[in-house]
Amino acid sequence: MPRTRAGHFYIDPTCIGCGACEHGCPGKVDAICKIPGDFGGRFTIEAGQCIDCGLCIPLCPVACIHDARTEGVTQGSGGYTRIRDLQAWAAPRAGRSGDAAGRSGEV
Amino acid sequence: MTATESRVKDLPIILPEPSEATSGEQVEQATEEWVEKFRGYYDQWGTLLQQNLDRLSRGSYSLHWLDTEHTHWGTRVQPSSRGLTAADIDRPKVYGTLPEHTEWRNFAPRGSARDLYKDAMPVIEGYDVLDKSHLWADNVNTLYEEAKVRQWNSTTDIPWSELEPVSEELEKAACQLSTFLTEVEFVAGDFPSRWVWRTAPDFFEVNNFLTTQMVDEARHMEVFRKRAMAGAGGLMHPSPAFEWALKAILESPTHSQGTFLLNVLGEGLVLSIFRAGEFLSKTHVDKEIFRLCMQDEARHVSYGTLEFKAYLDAAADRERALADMHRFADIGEQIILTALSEPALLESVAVLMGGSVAEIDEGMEGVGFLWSTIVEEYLQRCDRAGFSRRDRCTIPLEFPWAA
Repeated sequence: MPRTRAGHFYIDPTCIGCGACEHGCPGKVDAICKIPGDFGGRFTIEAGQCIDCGLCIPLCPVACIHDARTEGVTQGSGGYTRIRDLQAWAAPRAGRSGDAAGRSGEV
Repeated sequence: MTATESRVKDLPIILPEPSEATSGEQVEQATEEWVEKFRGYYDQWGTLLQQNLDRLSRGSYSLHWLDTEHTHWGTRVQPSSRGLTAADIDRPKVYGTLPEHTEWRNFAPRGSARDLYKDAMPVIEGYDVLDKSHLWADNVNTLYEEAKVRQWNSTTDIPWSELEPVSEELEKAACQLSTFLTEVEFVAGDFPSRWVWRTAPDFFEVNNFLTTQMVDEARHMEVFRKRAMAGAGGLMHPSPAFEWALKAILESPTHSQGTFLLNVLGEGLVLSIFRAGEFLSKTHVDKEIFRLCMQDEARHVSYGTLEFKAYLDAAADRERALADMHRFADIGEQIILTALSEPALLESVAVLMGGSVAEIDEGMEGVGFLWSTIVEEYLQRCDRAGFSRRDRCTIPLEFPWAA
């Protein structure tokens, strides 16, 4: 059930999709879910559901869950951002050279 | 000698007819050792057997198991709205408190009335991993739940009949990459199996998760073996360079060190390849294989990272633990680098990225980005665990390719 006050926790784009956080979220809150259609299988926090309990934070292996009140909103930092360079290199090449797979661009 | 002991000692030893001398002799010797071993324990189990048979012959009941004095009778675990999860059943302290060190080297469940029987319990010598710090990760229960809901079946969940034909060069590259992945997935399943049977059942949460990793890796080995065959190509070249890396992982001296080498470094490397799978896939079938394998691999990397962190955090002498791990990583990284620099891996990936053998140079540019992704992601995992490796990393941060 959506709450009247939105939560402040969010998952930045460097999530690797392990899902540890999803099951750390209290069951009645259930604010964490997979991003539909995302190739990387990343997760997101629905702000309307989140109660700011922070139980998910210590479960994350890449430290990609943040409290916007204390950390602001970031796109992530560190090694897990490096794949963006590969994405930028690969995106213009999509569909070339006998490539039968669809590519959705940025992961 | 009791009547029971007399009957037991007269039991015939029935051995299967040996099919060949060597293996037959081994079976015979092993059987003889087992029989002698358990004859040696006769005073312990034979007494229990005698008591049980005597009770039955008297028509007498024990009903001792109805006594709840030494149990936690009445403690109710409450399901959450997700169901009754692994975390839910660990919530009552009487059941969910893991010992830092356990002496229970048998199957008596944590939280049962086992203290009553301590002196009569057998010791299973194989259980020699007895410290929580060598196994635990704070996310192991939630990863176990995630693993259970994300299981998939390579037989039916991959649209094999829709595998589009690609050029022979691309098919060879896809088959070579599949051969590499088949090879590495073996060890990723075998390594946890080597430790699960040594881990005391008091740490069943970890064993349960590691069992899901073993199932995941069996499925990965299966799906990449199938992929190599499904396009009318086939399994290609295994590599001694891969094998040395896999041997180093499998023969790691401790679980935490092996978890570092496998889950943090080796599987991390494979996760990076899967994360790049969108750009390596030449068909939507390949893309789906990478997508499904990636979510499994992410769990293994996740466990490894936080297990490594927990190991370092629990170390009585953190500086010494760090020094030991650096010494281990110095050579471990080099052995993994032996696999990472293998042409059967890099060149097949380059052809997939470039689009053909003629475009391999362009593909190597992409491999360069993948290389730095692999190394930087590894270094971030080390940072997360509290293991600053950037200044000592023996894997080149940038792709050592003279274009």
